[in-house]
Amino acid sequence: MEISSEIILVVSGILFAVALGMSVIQMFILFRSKATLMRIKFEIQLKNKELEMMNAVVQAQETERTNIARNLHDEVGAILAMAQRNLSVSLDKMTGDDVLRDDIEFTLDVLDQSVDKIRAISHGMLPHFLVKFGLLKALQRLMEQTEKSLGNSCSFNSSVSEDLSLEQRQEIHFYCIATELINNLMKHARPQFINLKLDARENHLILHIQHDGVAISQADYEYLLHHGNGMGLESISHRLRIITGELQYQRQTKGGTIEISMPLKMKIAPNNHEEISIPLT
Amino acid sequence: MSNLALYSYYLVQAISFLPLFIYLKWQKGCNFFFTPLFLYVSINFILILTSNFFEIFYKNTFPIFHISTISLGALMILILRSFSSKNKAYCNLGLFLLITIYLIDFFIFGGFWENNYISNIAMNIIVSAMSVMVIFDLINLEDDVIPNQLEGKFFIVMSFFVYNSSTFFFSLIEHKIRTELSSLFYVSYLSYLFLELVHYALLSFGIWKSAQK
Repeated sequence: MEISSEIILVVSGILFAVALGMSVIQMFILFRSKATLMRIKFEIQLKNKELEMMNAVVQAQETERTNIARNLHDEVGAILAMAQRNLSVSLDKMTGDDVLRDDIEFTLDVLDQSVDKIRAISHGMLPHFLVKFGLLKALQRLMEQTEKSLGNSCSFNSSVSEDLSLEQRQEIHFYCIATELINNLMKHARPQFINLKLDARENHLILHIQHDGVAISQADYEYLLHHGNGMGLESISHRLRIITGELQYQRQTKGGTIEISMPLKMKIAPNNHEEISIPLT
Repeated sequence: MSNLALYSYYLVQAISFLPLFIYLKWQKGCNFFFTPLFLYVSINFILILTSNFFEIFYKNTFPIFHISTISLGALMILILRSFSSKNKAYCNLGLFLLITIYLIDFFIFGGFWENNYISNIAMNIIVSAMSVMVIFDLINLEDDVIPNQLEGKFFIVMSFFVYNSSTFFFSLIEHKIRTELSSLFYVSYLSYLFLELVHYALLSFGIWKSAQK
């Protein structure tokens, strides 16, 4: 009798342990999938929030830059132009007194330089040309300027239709990334030539930059981005995240390529018939 | 075997400080000392210490069982209630049942220095059932919550489930083992202590996890 109740107790104990263990494991499995799902959702929300904040900061910065640039160009520039005109009129009216004439001529020269400087600053802060004429023309102009600085021939080709219309914010970010990359190339890669090619593939706008200077690989870019002190790459990375774009560096035997791609959210009519080649020289 | 059981008993007593330590170290907030969780881990630790005192001076630890059943039982239900999103009414019912059964057991079947077997078993059943209910509540939760907090809650509830279901089973067989099958006593007691250790481990992990960002 005692043995049988002992066996019953042992068996019931084992059964209880098995039942408890199985129910705990079952609940763990059920919860694990839920927790994984929740974690993914939470991370997406966190990223979206971060992106929203970044967007707001960049937007505020852009607005501020636009305001400053506009004020510099329209107000300070106009005042200086008026002073310049008045001084010119006074100079015309003057007779004799060479010392004073020299002084006024010198002041006019200084004013002239100030007007140029203010125009350059205001254009640097807000790419007026881009806003006015669009990405294609702005990139073409950028290459013209680059060509002047390099003293060698550069080219810009585009297979994208000229009536390409992008959201302005997207356009500005894309252009600023291209400008920053070209500036970096000029500063660090010391190339003889830079070729730019704008393309639209699989609903993506792609800018292909080819050069024959000192090139870096994708790994180098990642390292510089996370360990470097410069603000340029960080700014590029921020802008890329805003436009959900990608950047690919490739080192070749001579020189290298950089590819910026950005998803197109609006209608684009790619010109499949012929590639528009815009001669720069 | 008896020595092993005794050392294991002291080990479990020492481990009972772990959830309180983790709570004091990691949990932060304005209602730090007034949360059911803090009250649960601190009262549990104090009761374990006090039970030694009662054992030495009165050779009777039933008063501790009384306080433990009503206070820890109620706190566990309150914690589960705060974690539950859909079944708060059932938690209220559980709390009401626990208090009612405890009072009946206290006044009708025995006093403060007597065994509160019925209310103890009722507490184990109620809290185990509530725990399963809240676990499924957490699994089916649709609101957006911080994943670490959700996981922390899950482990805390799981610790209640493991502790109460094992205590329930042990309570059912304890009398028979003590009176008729003493050969199985140490094995079952060590198994019970092991499950209590699991309870503290899960509880500590849950408290630590829910404090993470």
